[in-house]
Amino acid sequence: MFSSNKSILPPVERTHYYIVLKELKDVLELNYLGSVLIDNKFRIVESHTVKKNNNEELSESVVAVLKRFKKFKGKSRIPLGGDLFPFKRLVLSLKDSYLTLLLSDHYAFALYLGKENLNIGTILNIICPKIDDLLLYLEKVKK
Amino acid sequence: MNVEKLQKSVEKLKKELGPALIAMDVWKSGVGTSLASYNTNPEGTALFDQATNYLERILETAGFPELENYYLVELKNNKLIIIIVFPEGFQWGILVDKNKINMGLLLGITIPKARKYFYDAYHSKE
Repeated sequence: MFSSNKSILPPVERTHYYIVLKELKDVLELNYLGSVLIDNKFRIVESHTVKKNNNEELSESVVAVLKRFKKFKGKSRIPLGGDLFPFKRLVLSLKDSYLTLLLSDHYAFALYLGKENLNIGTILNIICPKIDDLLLYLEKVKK
Repeated sequence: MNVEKLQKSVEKLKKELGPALIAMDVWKSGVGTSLASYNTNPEGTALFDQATNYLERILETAGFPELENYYLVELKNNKLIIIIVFPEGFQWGILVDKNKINMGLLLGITIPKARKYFYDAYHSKE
């Protein structure tokens, strides 16, 4: 079902990653359109999309968002009382889909989802915590 | 646009959100001119006007569908920003304390209300 490209995760971490990805896909079913894991050097660690030709689009747009938002670092303390970058989560409501981006110290995980019958509450309350746990795991094993 | 009506809408939402609300601003996209606000500043408005512009351009370049309704940014300090985007060229930004807000209320009631208030003011004569 997945169209996957390269992976630079070690085997154990990769297995864990795939278990979580399968869990996400089981919850999301047809709403799952793709996901990408990027490290803090903007390298694609894992990338999967249902449609093969979406792989590059998804990865490129996530890297572009990260690079653009990185420019806000240190510039948003006064208006927000905290920095806009690095943020914890970014959820874009698009015309027929959601693009969700979660950050940890060394990784960014993006999830591209179809909107049909998918409540934003499901993304924030069920999906995002699973990804938070995955990122926490990846951070822990990195140390 | 009836700016007075819009400012009254901001006041109404302020009351409804209570202590969870930190700041709110309605501005014209691309110009960053604030039309109605609560506890905001020009830097914050300019920052999010620029952020929305970046996102719209990235989505278009990558061939993704365009932004519809809103986007959310959750910061590391438990603050949450909702930017409601109007195709008429305006944005409504709401900054809240995530610890003090019911997310269901925010997403299911506050955002639709803000949209309704905006269009009431937009179609109303001064």
